[in-house]
Amino acid sequence: MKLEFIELELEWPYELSVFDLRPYILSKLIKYGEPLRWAITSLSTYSEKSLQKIYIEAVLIINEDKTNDVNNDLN
Amino acid sequence: MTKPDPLPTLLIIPTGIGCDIGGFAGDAIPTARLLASASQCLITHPNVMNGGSLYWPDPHIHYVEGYSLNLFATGELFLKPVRQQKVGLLLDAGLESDLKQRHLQVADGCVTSLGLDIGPIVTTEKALRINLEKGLSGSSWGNIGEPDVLLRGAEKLKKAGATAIAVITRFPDDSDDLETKLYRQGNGVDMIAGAEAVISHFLVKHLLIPCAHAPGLAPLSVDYDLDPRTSGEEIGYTFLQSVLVGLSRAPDLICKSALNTKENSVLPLTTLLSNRNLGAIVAPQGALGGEAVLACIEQFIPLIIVSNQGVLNVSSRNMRLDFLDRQNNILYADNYLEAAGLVTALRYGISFKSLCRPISAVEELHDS
Repeated sequence: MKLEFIELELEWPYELSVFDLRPYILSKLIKYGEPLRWAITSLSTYSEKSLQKIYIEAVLIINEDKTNDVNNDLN
Repeated sequence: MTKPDPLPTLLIIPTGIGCDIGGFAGDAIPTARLLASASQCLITHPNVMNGGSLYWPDPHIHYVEGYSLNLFATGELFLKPVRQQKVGLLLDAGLESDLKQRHLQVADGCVTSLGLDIGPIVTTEKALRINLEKGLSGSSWGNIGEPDVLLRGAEKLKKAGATAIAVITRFPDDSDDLETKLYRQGNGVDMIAGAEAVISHFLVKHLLIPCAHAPGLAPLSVDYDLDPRTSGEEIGYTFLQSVLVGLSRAPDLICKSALNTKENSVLPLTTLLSNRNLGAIVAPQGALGGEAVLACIEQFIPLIIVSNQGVLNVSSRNMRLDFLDRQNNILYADNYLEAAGLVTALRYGISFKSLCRPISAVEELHDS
């Protein structure tokens, strides 16, 4: 077992309500490991593209076999 | 008129994001006391209540670590108030002999002078190797080099009878670091706080008992420009005393799934606190992207958003909350005095409309 700190950028679709945001983020984080501590730490709005992006900082519990996936996928 | 029931209220001031109030050494304790007085039942986390050498035990405040707080807010966990916890001490093998001794003496002092129940005590098999990190946002985070070692030590304590765990790990000394200097002068983020939260989250996740962390650090040289908000960390040799006091009466953590077990089947539900009892959550404007806040929004628990600047800008506007009105239980306060007023109004059932001017006349509903 190891812990990994990651920074993740996600698109927040306009049709997704704030009431559904937490499960949405968890569903994305779980791909990289088991979320231990996370928060949205920044948001950007691109009005010309009708797009909002959220930035997550998180510490995940990662099994060794998932390490490669994380390194490949994260910015 | 009879006195109204308490209004269980959640106070969140996230760790390691440099909030003007609560971003330093227990400098939100007065805020917690005020909100506890207004609500008669405040649930908050160690970052709010730990003031290094300073602490304030309040029977109306429940000390709940962040990971369990998130589970509580999502409804996965119940809180069971207790008279006293048996607090085990987990010491990092990386602590030097003198530093370890200082912490043991604090434990002795808390037993002798405060009447706390402390022990057993375990030292980890090897040094835990804590790293401090900072995110792009400016908030502090951290990592545990030896999580398995940490967990084995904590499991040993639980098996030996500890009902709560205070963990002391050796943190890197960074007295010359610019970040530390800025923090001590009131202009920076607490660089060790994020790592502390990661450690306690990790233990609570695996053991499901109250846990909190105190950093083992060499003393710093005197700073003549010290911000008063950091003074609680300059008084003694350790930050352990506030952790021990907090944990000594932290509520038991009862997992939702465990309620059906034979052991817990006799628990009267009225003695447990659940998220359904929550009457309000209080959080800083700019820090609305945490799990507990989002979970409370989902459940329409009144959210009191307080101006309290930190390094984040996850604001009500960015989080699309501004279009929700009071019907959706989103409330705003310029400071915690106002927030306490809102909590009082909620608790006593006083309409907010009645408290504001101008006030409009009542309107009759007509069929369209």
